[in-house]
Amino acid sequence: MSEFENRESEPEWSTPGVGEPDSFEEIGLQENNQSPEQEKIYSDDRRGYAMKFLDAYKAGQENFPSNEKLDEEKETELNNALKFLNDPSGDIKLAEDVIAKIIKNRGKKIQESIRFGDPESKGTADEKIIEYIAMLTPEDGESGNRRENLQEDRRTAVFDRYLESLEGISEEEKDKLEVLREQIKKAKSDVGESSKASGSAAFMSLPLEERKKRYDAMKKQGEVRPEVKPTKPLKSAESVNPKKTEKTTETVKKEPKEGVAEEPVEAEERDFEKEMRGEKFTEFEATIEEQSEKFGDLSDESRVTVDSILSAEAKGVYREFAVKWIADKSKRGELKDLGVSAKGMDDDAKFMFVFGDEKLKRQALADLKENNDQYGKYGHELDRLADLMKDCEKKKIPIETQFILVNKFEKISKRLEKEAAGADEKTKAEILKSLDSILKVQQEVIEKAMNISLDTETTKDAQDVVGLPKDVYVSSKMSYTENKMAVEGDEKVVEKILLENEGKYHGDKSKLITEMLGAQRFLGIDQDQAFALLHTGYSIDGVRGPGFIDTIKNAKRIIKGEEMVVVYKDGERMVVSTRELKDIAGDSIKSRKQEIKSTAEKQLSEEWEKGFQEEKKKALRSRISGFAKTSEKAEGKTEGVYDRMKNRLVAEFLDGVINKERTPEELKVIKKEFGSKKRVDIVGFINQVYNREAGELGVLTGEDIDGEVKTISSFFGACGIKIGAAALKKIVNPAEYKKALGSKKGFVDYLLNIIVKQNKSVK
Amino acid sequence: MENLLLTDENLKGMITLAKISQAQKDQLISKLPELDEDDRLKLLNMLKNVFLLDKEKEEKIQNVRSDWEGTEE
Repeated sequence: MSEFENRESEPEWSTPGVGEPDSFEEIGLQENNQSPEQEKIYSDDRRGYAMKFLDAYKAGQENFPSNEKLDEEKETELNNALKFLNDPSGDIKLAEDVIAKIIKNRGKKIQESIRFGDPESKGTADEKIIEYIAMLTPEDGESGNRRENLQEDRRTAVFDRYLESLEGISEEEKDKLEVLREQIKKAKSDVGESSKASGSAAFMSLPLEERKKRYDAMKKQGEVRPEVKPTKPLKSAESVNPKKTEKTTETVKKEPKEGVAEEPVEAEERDFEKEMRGEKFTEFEATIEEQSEKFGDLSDESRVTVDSILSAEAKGVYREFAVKWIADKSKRGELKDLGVSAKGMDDDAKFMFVFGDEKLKRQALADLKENNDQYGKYGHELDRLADLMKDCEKKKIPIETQFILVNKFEKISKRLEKEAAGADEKTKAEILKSLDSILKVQQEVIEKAMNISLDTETTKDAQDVVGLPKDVYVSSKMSYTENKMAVEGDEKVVEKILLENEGKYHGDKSKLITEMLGAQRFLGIDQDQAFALLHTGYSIDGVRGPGFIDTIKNAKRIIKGEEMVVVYKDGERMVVSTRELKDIAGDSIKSRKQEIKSTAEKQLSEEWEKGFQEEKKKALRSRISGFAKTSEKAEGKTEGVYDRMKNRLVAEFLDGVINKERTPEELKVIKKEFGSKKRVDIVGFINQVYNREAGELGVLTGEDIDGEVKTISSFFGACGIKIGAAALKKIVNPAEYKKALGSKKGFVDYLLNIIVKQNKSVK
Repeated sequence: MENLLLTDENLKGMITLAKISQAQKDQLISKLPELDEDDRLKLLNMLKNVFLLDKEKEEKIQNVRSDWEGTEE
C-alpha cells in the first residue's frame, strides 16, 4: 500500500486550497501576482490539470504549522509527482494517484485545514474540490465554443481519471465520490449559463473576449466588478507561498497590501493586460495538447525484457571488442610484457580476462573511448545501445525510439535464429525463449505505436492460410479419424492379447482371428461385438468346443431359458448367458464410440489449433518484419503523429476565431494597424535560431551577456527586426536567457517572445 | 511603432510557408484581415509551433534513418 493510502497516518492529505490559499479566487490571485517571468503556464491537458491542482495543494501545505505538515515520505512523493509533471516526458500517473488520494481522504482533517486558512471559511472539503475542478478550465488561449466544449467534455472526465487511480475503495466511499462527481457535473453545467453567472469561477470560465467585454461595460457603468461572490480577507502572496514572492518591480507595485483583498476583477484586468502584452506567448511544449501521441508506454514485463536483451547485446559488443583488443595486444607483444598469455582462451574467457582485471579494463576502455578506426565501431554501437536503453528507461518512450527498438530487436532475432540452428538442445531452448520474449515486446510496441491489434490481424492471416474454420475442419475429418481410431484400437487389443498369450498364439494373429470367428459363430455375435468384448476385458478363449460344454455342465449359474457360457474377464472365470454377453458387447460398443468421438474431436481441435497458432506466429513474425525491415513505416508513423499535431493546432486556432464577426469600424482599425506591406523574415528567423549552432548565434553561451546581446541585436537586424543591444540588455533576464539556451525550441520561443514584448512596449 | 510580426503581410508569408494543407492555408489567410492583435499573437504562436513541430519531426525522422539497421542477413 502506498504511503498516500494510509489513512491512519497524520497529517492526512487535506483538501487542496483549504489549507492556504483558502479560496479559489485566492489561488487565481496568487498565480496572477507572480511576475511574468515566474508565471507558470498550465497546459490544457491531464498534465496541466494535475500540475495546477498539486501546485495549489502544495502552496496550501506550505502554510501549515510545521507539526501539521506532510511527513517526509508524503512530501517526497508530492515533490516527485510535481517533478514528473514538470518533465514533459515524465509519467503523470504518480501525480494522478496523489490527487486521487487527496480527494479520497478529503474531510478527515478539514477543520484543521480550514483553521490554517481562514477561521471564517465555511466551505467543506467537497465544496473546495468541486470548486477547484470546476476551475480546471483550458488556458486562456482557448475561447468561444471551443472552450465551452472542452469544459463540457473534460471536467467530469478529469475527476473520473483521478478516481481511476484509486484502489481498494469501499462501497460507501464510492457512493460519496459519485455524489461529488454529480456535483461537479452540475457545477460544470452552471458555468455555461453566462447570464446567470454568480461566481468568479463562472466569470473566469467565460471566453476571454466575453470577460473583457463585460468588464469594460461594467467599468463604464461605474461597477467595479461583475456579480461575484464576496471575497474573504486575503493574506499576502508571501504568506501564501513564500517561494513565489520574488517579484519584479512591476508586480511588486501591483501586489495587494497585506490583509487587504484585491478585487478579483483587478486580477482579471491584469490577466487581460498580460495577454495583450503577449506575456502569455506560451512555450512550445506547453501549447501542444496530447503530447502523449509522441510517446509510448511499455509494460513492466517488456521493460525487463528490453533491459535484459539490450544489456546482453552490450555485453556481446564488449566481448567482441575484448577479443579483438587481446589479439591486437598479443600481436604487439604487449600481453607478454604483462606476463600473461591469451592462448587457449575462448571468447568468454578473453572478455573476463580483460574486464575482470582493473588495470587491463582501464587500458581497454581508454582505447575504446578513442573511437578510432580500430575500435570505433564498438564504441559507436555501445553508444547507440546506451541511448536506446536510456530512452527505453523513460516513463514515456519517444515515438522514433519505439521503432528503432523494434528494428534492433529484429536484427537480434535474426542472429539468434542462426545461433539456435547450431546450438545444443538446452541452449536452443533458451534462445527460443528469448525469441518469444523479443517477439512479445515487438508486438506490444507496434500495437501501441500504430494503434492496431496484431493479434486480430495475424488471426485473419492465419485463417487465410489454414483455410477451414476449426469446427468445419473437425467435422470434415471426424468420420475418417473415428474409423482410424477404432481400427487402431482393435489392433492394439489384438497386439495386447497376442503378447499376453505368447505361449498359445506364438504371436500369430491369424490364430486369434480364427478363434474369434469361431466364438462369433457360437455366440451369434458379429465382429464388432467380439472386439467390444475383448476391449471390455473378456476373453473368447474356450468359448467353443467340448471343453466349453463340459464347463457349462458344471456351471453353478444357470438362467432359465438362456444359453449359458463360460467366459473369462480379466482372467477371472465367470458364467454368463449369451444374451448377457450381447448386452455387454452392445454397451461396450456404445461407450467406445462415444469415447472415440470425444478423443477424435479433441485430437482434431488440438491439431487445428496447433497448426493455426504456428501460422499465426509466422504471420506475426512476417508482419513485425514488415515494420522492422525498412524505416518506411517508422518514418510514416512519426510524420503522421506530427502532422496530426499540426492539424490540431491549426484547427484549434480556427475554432477560436471562426465565429468572430467584426464591425466595419473594427475592420477599419485592424486594417490601419496591421495592413502594412512590411514584413520580416520570421521563418528564416525561426530556422536560424533553431539551428543556431551552425550560424552566427552559435557563439551564444549565456556567459557574456553584454557581448551576446550585441550578437543577438545584430542578428535581429539582419532579419529586419530592430532592437538595439541596450534595449535587449534591459529585457534579457540572465538566468532565463541561459535556461532558454539549453533548448532549441525554448530559445526560439524566448527570442520571439522578446520581439513580441518589445514591440508591445514600444507601441 | 507598428508590430511587424503581426502585419497581414508577415503572417500571410508565414502561413504560405507553413507545411499545412492548402485548405487550412486558405482558411487562415481569409480570416487574417479580421484578426485583432490578440488573435494575431495567437496565430503567430500557433504558426511558430507548427514550424517547430516540423523541425522536431525532421530530426526524429533523421534519427530513425541514421539508426535503422538492415535486418536481412
